[in-house]
Amino acid sequence: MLSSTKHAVSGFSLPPSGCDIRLPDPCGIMRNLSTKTKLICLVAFMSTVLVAIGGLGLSGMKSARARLETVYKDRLVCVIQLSTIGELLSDTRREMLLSVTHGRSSFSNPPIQNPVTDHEHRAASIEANLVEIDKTWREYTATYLTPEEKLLASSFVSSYTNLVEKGIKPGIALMKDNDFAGLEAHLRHIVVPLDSKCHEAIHALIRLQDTVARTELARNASDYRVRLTISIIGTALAVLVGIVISALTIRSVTGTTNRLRESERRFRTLFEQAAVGVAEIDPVSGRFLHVNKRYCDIVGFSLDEMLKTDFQSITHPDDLEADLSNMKLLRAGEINEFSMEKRYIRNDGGIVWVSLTVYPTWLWGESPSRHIAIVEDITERRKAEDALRSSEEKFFKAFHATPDAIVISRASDGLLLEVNEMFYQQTGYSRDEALGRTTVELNLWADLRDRERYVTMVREYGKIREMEASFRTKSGEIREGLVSSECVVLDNEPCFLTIIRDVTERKKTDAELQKYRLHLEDLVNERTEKLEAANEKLKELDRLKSMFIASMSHELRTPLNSIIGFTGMTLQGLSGELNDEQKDNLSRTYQAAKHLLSLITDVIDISKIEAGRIESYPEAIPLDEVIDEAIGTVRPQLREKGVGLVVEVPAGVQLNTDRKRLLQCLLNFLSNAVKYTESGTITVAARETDGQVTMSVSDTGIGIAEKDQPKVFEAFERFETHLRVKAGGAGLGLYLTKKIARDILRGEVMFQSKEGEGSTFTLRVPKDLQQKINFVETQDKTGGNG
Amino acid sequence: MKTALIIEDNPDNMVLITRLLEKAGYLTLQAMTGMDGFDMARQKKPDFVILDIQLPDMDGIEVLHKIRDSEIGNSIKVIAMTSYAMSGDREKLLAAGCDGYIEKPIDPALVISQIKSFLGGRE
Repeated sequence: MLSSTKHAVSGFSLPPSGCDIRLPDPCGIMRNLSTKTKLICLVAFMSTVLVAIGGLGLSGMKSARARLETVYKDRLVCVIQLSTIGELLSDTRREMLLSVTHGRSSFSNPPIQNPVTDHEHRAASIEANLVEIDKTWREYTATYLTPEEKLLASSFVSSYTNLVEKGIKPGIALMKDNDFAGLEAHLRHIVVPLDSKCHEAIHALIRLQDTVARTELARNASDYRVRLTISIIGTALAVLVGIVISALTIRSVTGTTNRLRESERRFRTLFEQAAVGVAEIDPVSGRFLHVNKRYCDIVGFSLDEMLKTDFQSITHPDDLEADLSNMKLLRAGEINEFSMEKRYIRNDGGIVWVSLTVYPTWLWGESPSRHIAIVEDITERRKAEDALRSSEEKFFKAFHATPDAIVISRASDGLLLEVNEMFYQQTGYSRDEALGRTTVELNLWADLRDRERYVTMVREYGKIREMEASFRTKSGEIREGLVSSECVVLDNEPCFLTIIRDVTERKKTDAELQKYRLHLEDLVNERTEKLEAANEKLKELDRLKSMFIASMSHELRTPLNSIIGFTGMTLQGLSGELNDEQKDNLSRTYQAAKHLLSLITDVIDISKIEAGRIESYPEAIPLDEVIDEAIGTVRPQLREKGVGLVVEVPAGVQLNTDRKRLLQCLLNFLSNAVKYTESGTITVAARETDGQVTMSVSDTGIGIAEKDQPKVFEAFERFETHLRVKAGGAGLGLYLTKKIARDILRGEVMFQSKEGEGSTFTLRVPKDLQQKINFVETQDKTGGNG
Repeated sequence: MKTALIIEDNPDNMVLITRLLEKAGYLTLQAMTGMDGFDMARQKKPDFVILDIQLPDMDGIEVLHKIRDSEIGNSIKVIAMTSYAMSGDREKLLAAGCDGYIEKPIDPALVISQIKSFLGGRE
């Protein structure tokens, strides 16, 4: 009750408001109107005064303007008048002068006219002029004269009087007397000086007019301006006041009569069509007294149903207690209003979330307050919030559970807005330490160039994928990371979502692997080098061995030469006759020595070839000659064995090769053929093809067994045959032949053989040793077969 | 009766060659070094020289050059006798002014006829 009154009073003191739903008391209206009337009266009075001022200003302005025109006109008239006077004076003088001229001429010449009449006429004219001057002067002096002007005017008057009295009047007398000489003298001495003075005075006056006019005009113009301004201001103010008065009048009349209805209508519209639910609730019972459509829609009841129920019935039990306690506080006046989010149970059983605001109101000054409840359906918002919350929760979990460090920073200043758990684990900076600081402040970048790169890339491309960068942790440890970043907008602010993957361990592992790999390579290289060195050493040893054998063999030969020489000489019977047994003994010694010599010779050759110390000495040789020489060596044995010989060698074939070595090869083939052939024929054939010469020695001997054929050209191979002991030899012959053919003659050796039928050994060499150097490369044929 | 100068450092070979030549009816002179051989050739003026190529003091070819460059010039035959010959020795020796070339080991049955052919071939 008390609070209600208080409210009402405070309501009255407020200025009138059209949309206020509280309606003022009639008494208040009266007081309002009286104040307004006073105000209107005051304004009307003021406007009248101002209109008057405006009118005065206007009329003053008119008169000022008229006076301005008058001044201008007057002064112009004065100038004309004064000029006329000046003109008349000049005229007078001229008339007198003409009289003198005429008089003199008529005196000397016969007069054309009657001079007397003429003179009289002139005198009359002068007198008329004087009368005119007097008249004009009077008119002039009738106008307003300034003090200065008056002074000049009096000076003119005196000089004029002087002129008339002393000059003109005596002049007229003289004219009438026809005394022209006297007149002329009078004119010159009296009239002209006096006349000049008069003119000066007149001109001074004329000049003064200008000055006077200016001063007058200036004075009047400022006066005019002042009046004009007053007039304008006055009029404008009057109009303004008029408008204000009419506006106030209209309002005071219409406003008071329509406000109530208008307010009611607006309230209804607002109430019914509001986008929020509005209800008037009895504060004690909680019943709904008025409910708008929206309220009904929100809770799903019809209007009638609503008016039969109270808010407690439809409130969700969980929210009722809070609601009731708020209501209690409101009723007790401890709070002026309250807002809360609560649930209603809809008619259909569903739950609707609303935002509720309740405040007390007083309609028509009734004492028991009523509560106005405004509700807004926030179910959707709550749903969205719930969804967001759950999404946030999921994100939060993912954000912290991810094995990479994640940082959200503000693009504008780089401040860290959020970091995850891994960030703490990787860098050592807790969330509290990191938030609100920049990565630079945290000294996180081990190399600031990485940061520059990061900033440049993120600016240029808006994102970064797996950029390598080094980071410094809180403890100062340097860790390697792969940085990915993405531009995102959070709370309307551009931010960077940056993910840092710690690859320190991986890099370390990679580096170790790399180290092992390199180490392995080093190891392999080292071993290879050692092996190569060992190989070199072996080669060197091999060379030394060959050299040793060569020189040893040479030393062995010398005594052997003596053995062969002396036994040979003795066998020849040069030292006396020998008996058969002696001959046989010596012969065996001789043959054994020869065999030993050939072995040694072969060993020397092989050693030299293997040591690479054998050179070739090519010379021009006729093919048939070399073959003949070779055959000549074995001819005695052939004859002895009774083996036939066929030679098929074309004449005129010239070779350029090492004679001794070629001979050695051919001899080897031939001696083998002779050794292993008991009967039949040995055929020596040769032919020239394509820059090569092929020589072959075929026999009808024992041949070579299939199993032995691959080893024919190998060293120390002697096959089991019945001729083995008889034929002798160390098994070096074919080995040496092959070596000579390949390494010295740059040719190849081949053979064909069938056990029991015979063999054919072939040697093919380039015709010109010095040209066919690449022949060695085809050596596989021999090796494979031999 | 022709006289042969044998320049040979190996005593066995010297004996062998000497005996073979004497048996064939030649007179012989012996020198064991290159220098001795050269001096003897100038003093005794033999009909031909059997020259070993491997000598202790100088190379046989050097002795040959000395003989050919001396007042003897080409007036006496020189037959070179090499131990196991290298390829190319023959050419080298013939080019240096040798009249003949015999390879060791000498064949007692053939050596006299070889010598005779060299001596005769030049005349």
